[in-house]
Amino acid sequence: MAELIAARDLVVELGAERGLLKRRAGVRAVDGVSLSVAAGETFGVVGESGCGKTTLARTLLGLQRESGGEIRLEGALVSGASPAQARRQRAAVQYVHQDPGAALDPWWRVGATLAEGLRIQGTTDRAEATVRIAEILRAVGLDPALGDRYPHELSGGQQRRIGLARILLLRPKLVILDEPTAGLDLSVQAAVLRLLRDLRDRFGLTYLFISHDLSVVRRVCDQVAVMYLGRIVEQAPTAELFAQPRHPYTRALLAAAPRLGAQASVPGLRGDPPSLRAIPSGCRFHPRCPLADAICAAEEPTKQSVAAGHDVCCHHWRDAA
Amino acid sequence: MRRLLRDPVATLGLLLVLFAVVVAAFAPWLAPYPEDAFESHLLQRLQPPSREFLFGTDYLGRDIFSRVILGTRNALAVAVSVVVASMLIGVPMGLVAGWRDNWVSDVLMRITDIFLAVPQLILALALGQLMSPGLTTAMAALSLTYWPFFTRTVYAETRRLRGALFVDALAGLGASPSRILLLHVLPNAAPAILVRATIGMGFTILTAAILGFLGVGAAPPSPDWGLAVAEARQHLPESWWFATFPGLAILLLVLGFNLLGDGLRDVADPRLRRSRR
Repeated sequence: MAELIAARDLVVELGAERGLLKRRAGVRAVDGVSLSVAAGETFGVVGESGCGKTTLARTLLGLQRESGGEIRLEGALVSGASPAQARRQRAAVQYVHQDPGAALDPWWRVGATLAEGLRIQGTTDRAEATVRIAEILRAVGLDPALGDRYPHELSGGQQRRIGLARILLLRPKLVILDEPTAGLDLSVQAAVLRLLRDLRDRFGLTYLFISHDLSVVRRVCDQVAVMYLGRIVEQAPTAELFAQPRHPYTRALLAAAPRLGAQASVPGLRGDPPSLRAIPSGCRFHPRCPLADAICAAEEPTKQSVAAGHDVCCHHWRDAA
Repeated sequence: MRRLLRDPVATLGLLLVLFAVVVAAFAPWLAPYPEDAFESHLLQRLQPPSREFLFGTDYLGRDIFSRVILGTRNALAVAVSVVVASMLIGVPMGLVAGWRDNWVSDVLMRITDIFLAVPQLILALALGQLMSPGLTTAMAALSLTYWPFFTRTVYAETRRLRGALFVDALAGLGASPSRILLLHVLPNAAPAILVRATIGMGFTILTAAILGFLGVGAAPPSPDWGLAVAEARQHLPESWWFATFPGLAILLLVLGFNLLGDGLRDVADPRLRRSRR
């Protein structure tokens, strides 16, 4: 499969200020992330809140400027541009917000909101826009008549479909889905996931799927990357990751997933993730890691290959087998 | 709108304002002696209210009822032009200053603070000395001191809205800042601007009347309410009707705008906002 988007050693610093009077170092929300997403696959990114998943997504999208590293889109270097320029270069990448209702202007009818995306991209022909909007609304399973409604008149599921329709209109190649199932009840969640799969097949999409819900990730993703404090600590094909997790953090995450009748064999995570302002020395996970020893506190682990396509950053991954 | 009408106090304000607008629109036909705006009849000066002259006559024998009606036009015209001029300056500045945190924003907001610190009446008096005292000078002075209120209102709204998810989504689609500001932030800030404008109307009418009273606003023989109160001062307390009726007109119109403004603010308050269905 051809590579669609790739990042190498991506670093994103947030909140840094370079004023005349004040100079403040920011926090590194994303710190040396490398990943490669192949065309047509669904690439999952999982991790606790605040681990940098959303920042990573916004950087790939171009809304957040990277401080280091490079991004390649279909082989072409697209990093280093200002946000406005980056968005023009990366029109093939689009982002669906976590809360699709709040992502719609409350004063605009959803039809107008949909048409606006087309206008921004340069489609000025009104008749063509109407046809395309009706077509896309049907594709996401909505009645084209809903275009006359205001966002608050739609249900949560409908708003989510509108959010999808809005970016599908722009004919993207890569769609970044930020927690697409958060806050939905299970039946709606299943319907949304089914819809996402249909749309992927129909429009030839590639998904970057951001979630903390492991059961969902397991069902829809081909590849999964586990993030911890701005780093990818383990990455593998989904089946392999769930069958043979190597990083203690991944194991803890899997163990923390609620299961009926399960007995706690692996201890859960202790404490909260450390602040990005005070990243631990050596391996960033060592203060919470059951396998940690002296080397973990002193040396940062490098990426090691477990199997083809399965990488892990841990000194003791062999012990975790 | 329906929620506004459910509030009896705000409805009273709305009725007062609408009444003033209707009176202003048809003033020359409503006034029993429309020519009394400029003509004087010295033989019938300072007559108490009667069936012939409902509010009595002033020191030049003019019918006060007619002059109060004719003065409505003046008061509303001043208020509307001052508020519109203030909006034209204040709203764009607030949008630009609120959109980004950079030196442009800092400079704009400090300029706003400086103008906010200028006392209206003193500026108007000074401008009156520099230019010729008159309604135009008074209106210029009021506009120069009222626009910062719009800047601050719009600034706060823009800052609130720029963090909203729908603005972020638009930026994600590649929308330009001018598109986001004019088509999305501005309509969403409109309720706050409308509230500020309504309260500003009442405020401007009051200040314009004070300026007229001080002699730097409208000049005789204009049927200005503030001017009428000033002219009546020498004839108090014997001719009480001379000052009372123009004063009452000021009171009622300002009250109307303020009640309406308060009602609108309650409706526009996002914490109270519900489905528009």
